[in-house]
Amino acid sequence: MAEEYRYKKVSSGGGFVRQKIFFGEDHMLVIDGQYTETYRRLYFDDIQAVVRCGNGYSIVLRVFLIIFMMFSAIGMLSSTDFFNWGALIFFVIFLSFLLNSFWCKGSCDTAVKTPLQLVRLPSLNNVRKAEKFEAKLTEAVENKQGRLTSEVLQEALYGSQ
Amino acid sequence: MEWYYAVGTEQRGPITEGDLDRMVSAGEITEQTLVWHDQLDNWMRLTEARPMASVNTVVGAPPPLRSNPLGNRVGVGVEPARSSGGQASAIRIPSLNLKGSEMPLPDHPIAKDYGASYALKPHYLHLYPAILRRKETVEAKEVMEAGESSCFYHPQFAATQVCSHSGRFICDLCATEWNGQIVSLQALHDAKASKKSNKLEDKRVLWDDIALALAVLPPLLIITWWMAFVTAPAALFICLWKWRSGPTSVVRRSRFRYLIAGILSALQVFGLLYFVIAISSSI
Repeated sequence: MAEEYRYKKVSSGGGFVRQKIFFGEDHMLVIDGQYTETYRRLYFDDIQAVVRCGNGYSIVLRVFLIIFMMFSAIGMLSSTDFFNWGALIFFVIFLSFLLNSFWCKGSCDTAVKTPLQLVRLPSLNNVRKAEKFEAKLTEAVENKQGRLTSEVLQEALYGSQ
Repeated sequence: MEWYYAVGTEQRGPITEGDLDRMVSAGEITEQTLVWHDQLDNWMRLTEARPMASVNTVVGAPPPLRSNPLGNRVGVGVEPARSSGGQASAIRIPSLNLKGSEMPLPDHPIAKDYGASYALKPHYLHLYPAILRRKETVEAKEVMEAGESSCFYHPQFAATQVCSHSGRFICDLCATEWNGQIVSLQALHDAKASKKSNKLEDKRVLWDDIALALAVLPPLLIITWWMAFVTAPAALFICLWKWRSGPTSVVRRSRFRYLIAGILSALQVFGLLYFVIAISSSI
């Protein structure tokens, strides 16, 4: 019988991204795939950094959503009836997507650095998700490694002067 | 022209243009090192100061070197400005947007809008203490004395540990830590093969997801309903076959998917049977 490990879900991907992230007692489990799961384990003791970089997907998405909203608005107002409810529904859907895009603070690429690799985490594809993940990861990593201070980092970078 | 340069918060110089070139080629001064000469209003990085240099040799005194001479907010967009010399100066962080480009470590553990000059786009970095840890290297001592035991897997090396699983003497090359015990890599490999620990598994097939997809997708797509003649019995078979062992994922899951897939596929099987019987009786 295999040993049982308890995991806590941290991120579940979304959209077309088939990646889930779980935290165990001493490691982070990255699960990729839909019908066959592939597991990668990153131990909190080995995690060196979280790296994040904004990308332009959210801007492109917002531009498209605004264009669709404009079309919906034109459809709404050009109706011979008092109000075109079909166009209104589309307008509200596109508006909710647009508001969600702003609420998520834009899209980004996120990765975790270990001594051997940079593990990209496509499930953390917006800044809000990435920030939540980082807060949880920092707590788990600092429990194992302690906290890195500016003084220690600068001494390691420049030597003691 | 005489140059001054900064090491940490300390001002060094003056040095000549030739000395500066020599120190740059020796790596003592980098492109990011803060420098000053008499034609500059303030300290700036060598990359920014160099194009403005001329042959004028009027010597003046440099302005006082502040702890943060570029005037940036601490931790925001600050790239290493001082000439580096510590053990961590060689550590690089790969960028996410530009393949092959790397950034040096920032001055602070949390750096916002960092590294645009290295990777075109600013990055956010959060560093943890492991970034400063030296890479571990393991060396095994060769058997020198007659009384020493040798490693089971490497007879030429002296044994330094005992494997907690197999009890064999092993050298430092073979030893690793697993669940708080010292084990040999071979024992770890055996444990993975025998699936003793799900912590060692790297792939699993999710039969509950497969059964659910087989039960739901063909009738849902309408034009593929005829595929249910195959997929519905297959889904039902998987549900019955795997029900006792439960979901296969490493993380905890309920049997909910098996239940839904089982009910749907059973309904489809009975529906299809009824359909076939009705057709055959009408013929």
